[in-house]
Amino acid sequence: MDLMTSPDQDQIIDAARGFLSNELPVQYTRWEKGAALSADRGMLPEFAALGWLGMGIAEADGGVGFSAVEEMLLFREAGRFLVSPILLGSVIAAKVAVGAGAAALAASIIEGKTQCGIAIPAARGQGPSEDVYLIEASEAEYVVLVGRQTICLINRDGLADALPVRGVDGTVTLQSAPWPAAAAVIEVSGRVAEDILLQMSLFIGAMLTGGAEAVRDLTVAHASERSQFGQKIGAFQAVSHPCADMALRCEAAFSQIKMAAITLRDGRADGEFQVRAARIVAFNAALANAAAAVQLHGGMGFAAEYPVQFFLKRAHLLDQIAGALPDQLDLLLGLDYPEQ
Amino acid sequence: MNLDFTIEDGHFRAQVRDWLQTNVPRHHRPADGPEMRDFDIAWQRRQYDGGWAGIAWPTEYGGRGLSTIQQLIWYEEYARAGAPYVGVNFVGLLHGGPTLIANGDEAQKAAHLPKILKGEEMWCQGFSEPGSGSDLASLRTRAVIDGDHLVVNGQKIWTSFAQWADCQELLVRTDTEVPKHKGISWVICDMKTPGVRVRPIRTMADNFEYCEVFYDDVRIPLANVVGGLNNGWRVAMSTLSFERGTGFMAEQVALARELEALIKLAKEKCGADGRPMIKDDEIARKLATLRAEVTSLQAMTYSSISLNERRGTPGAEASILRLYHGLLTQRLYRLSLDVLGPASLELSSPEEGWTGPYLYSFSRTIGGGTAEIQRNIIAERVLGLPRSR
Repeated sequence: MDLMTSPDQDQIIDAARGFLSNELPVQYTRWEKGAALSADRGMLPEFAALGWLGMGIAEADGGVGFSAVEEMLLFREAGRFLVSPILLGSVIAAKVAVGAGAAALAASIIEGKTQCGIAIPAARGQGPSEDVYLIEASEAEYVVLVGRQTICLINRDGLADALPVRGVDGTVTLQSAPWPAAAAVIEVSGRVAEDILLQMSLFIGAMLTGGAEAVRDLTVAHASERSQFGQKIGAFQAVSHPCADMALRCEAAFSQIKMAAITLRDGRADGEFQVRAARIVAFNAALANAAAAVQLHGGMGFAAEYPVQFFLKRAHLLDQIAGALPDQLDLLLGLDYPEQ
Repeated sequence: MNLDFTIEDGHFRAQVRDWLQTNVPRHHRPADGPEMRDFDIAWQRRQYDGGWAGIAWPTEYGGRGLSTIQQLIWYEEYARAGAPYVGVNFVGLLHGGPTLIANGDEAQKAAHLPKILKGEEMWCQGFSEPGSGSDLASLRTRAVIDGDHLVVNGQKIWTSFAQWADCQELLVRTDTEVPKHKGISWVICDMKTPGVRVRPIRTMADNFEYCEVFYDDVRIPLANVVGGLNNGWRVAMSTLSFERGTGFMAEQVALARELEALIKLAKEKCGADGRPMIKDDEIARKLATLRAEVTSLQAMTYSSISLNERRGTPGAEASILRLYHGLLTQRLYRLSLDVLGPASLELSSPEEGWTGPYLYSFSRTIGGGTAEIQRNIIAERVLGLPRSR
C-alpha cells in the first residue's frame, strides 16, 4: 500500500505544470477578448504532442497506454490552470470513439486534429424533447453528450441552430441547441459507457482538486504578502484559520482522488464508490476554497481581473457535467459499503 | 501508487482477524467506575497473553514492533471486530510508554514498560493546568530540588483517568529563571505518593472521565526525571506528535463503521410520515456527504501512512487528520439525533448508542490540542504562514 506518487508520476506532474504555467497562466488577459479567442483554443496540437489526448488509451488503439492514475494527475494540473474543457471533451471523446470501434475518428482526436466540446441536457428530464447546453463547442467538430448515466458522441452537423448563451463561467463558450438528431450519434452502452462515465467523473474530481489547491496557494501567498494593522494578515487567526481549513479540504480531496484513481485502474469492486466519494469531496473543496479565497482577498477577490473568481465559476461548471452533486450523493448512498 | 498489501500482510490480516474473532469482549465497555477500569485491564491482559500487546512498541521492550502498515491492518480488523476503546490504558500504551522508549533510561524502561503492556500499571497525563491550556509552556506547577528528590506543589486539570492511574507523566517547572520552554521537566509521578490528591470532574457526557490533581509537597525521586532536567518540553513534544500521528488510527478507522451503523439505522427507523428516515432527502444527502468525507478520511490515513513510511516520522500534517476526524465525528453524531427523532431525548452511555457519543464528541476538538491550536499548527507548519497569536 503506497499512496505517494512514483518518480515517473512526478515527471508527468512536473512536465504538465511547467508547460501550463508558461503557456496558459491563469490571468485575466487570457480570456479578455472572450472565451473563443483564449490561447487554449490553439493548444490542441500541443496537447496531442505531449501525449495528453490519448494518455489513457492502449497503445494498440493509438494511445500512450498509461492508466487512470496518470490521467488523474494530468487533470489535476489542468484544473489548477483552468485548461479549457476541450481537453476533457477530447480525452473522453477519444475513449468513446475507441469503445464504439470508430478507429479513424479516435486517431484524429488523439492527434489533435478533431476538436471536441461537451454537451449536457439543459434540464433534469434528459429527454429528446429538451434542449442541450454546448460547452466549448463553438468550433468543435464533435461534442460528447453526457447525461447522468449515458454518454455518446455527436457530429456537429447534428446540432443545428445552436444559439450563444451568456454563461456564468465566462472562460468557456456556452450555447443552447435542440436535442441532436439521432442519425448523427456514435454510441457506447453497457459496461463501456459506465467505465467512461466513471473516468469522466474521476477527471472532473481531479480538476476540482487542482482548483481547490490553486486557490489555497493564491490565498496563502496573498496572506503572506499583504500587511494591515502593521503585520502580515496571515498572522491574524481570522485569516490563518480559514487557510488551514482550505489545506484540510485539499488534503482530503487529493487523498481521495488518488484512492479513486487506483481502484479504477485496478478494476476493484469499490471503484464506483471511491470515484463518487472523490467527486463529492473535491467539488465541496473546490467551492468552499474558492468562496473562502474570494472573501480573504477582500475587494480584490470580488474583482473580475483577479483570478480567484474564475475558480469559483469553473467549479460550478464542472459540477453540472455527468451528474451534479445531488445526483452524486444519491448514487453514493445507494451503493453497498465496500468491505475489505 | 497502489493499494496492494504483501502476501505476508495478507497472512497477518488473517491471523489478526482470527484472533480478534474469538477474543474480543462480548459485552459493551462500561463507561465509568471500577467496572470500567477492570474491563480495560482484563482486555489489555488478554491481548498481552495473546501476544498482541504494544503493537507499535519495539520487540526489545515486549512489543510487537509492527510496521505502520501492519498497525493499520490491526486497527482495521480491530474496528471490524467491534473491539473496545483502549480506555484507561491509553496514556500508558500511547503516550507514557512511547515517551519512555524514546527518552527514558534503562532503569525507567525496565520498571514500567513490562507492567504497562500487561495491564498492571495505568498511567495518566499531567500537562494542562487551570492557567495553562493551549499555552502549555506557561505551566506553573513548581518542582524544587531537595537532596535526591523533587518537591512538587501545584495543580493539574483535565487529567483523564487520574482516579484509576498508578503513574502520571507530569510536567513541572524546575527553573523559573529561563524562557518558559526551557525550565520544564518531564517526571514520572507515583500517584500513591503522599500529598497527591485527585478530584474527579463530571463531563457533559455524564461520566467522570477526567480529574483535577493537586500536589502538596509531593516528593518525587530525581531518578524519575525522564530525558534530563529542564528538557521536558522537548520530551513532551515527542509525545504530542505521537498522539496526533498514529495514536488515533484506531478511532479514524472506526469512524466508517459508526457511519455505516447510522445509515443502517436510517433505513430501519421511520419518521412521522411512516417512511424510513433515509427517504428524507435532507437526511439522505447529509448521510451521503458524510459517507464521502469519512471515506476521504480513510484515504488521508492511507496517505499519511505512506508518507510516514517514506519519511520515518509523523509531521505537522497529522494535525489535519486529527482536526478532520474531530469535525466529522461531531457532524456524524449531530446527524444521528435527527435520525433518532424523539428517541434522541434518551441518554445512552458514551460508549454505545448515539446520544452519549454525541455529547462525548464535543471533546474531540478540545483534547490533545484544541481545533484552534491544530489550525495554528496547520497554518504555520504546513502552509508556512506567519506565526499567529
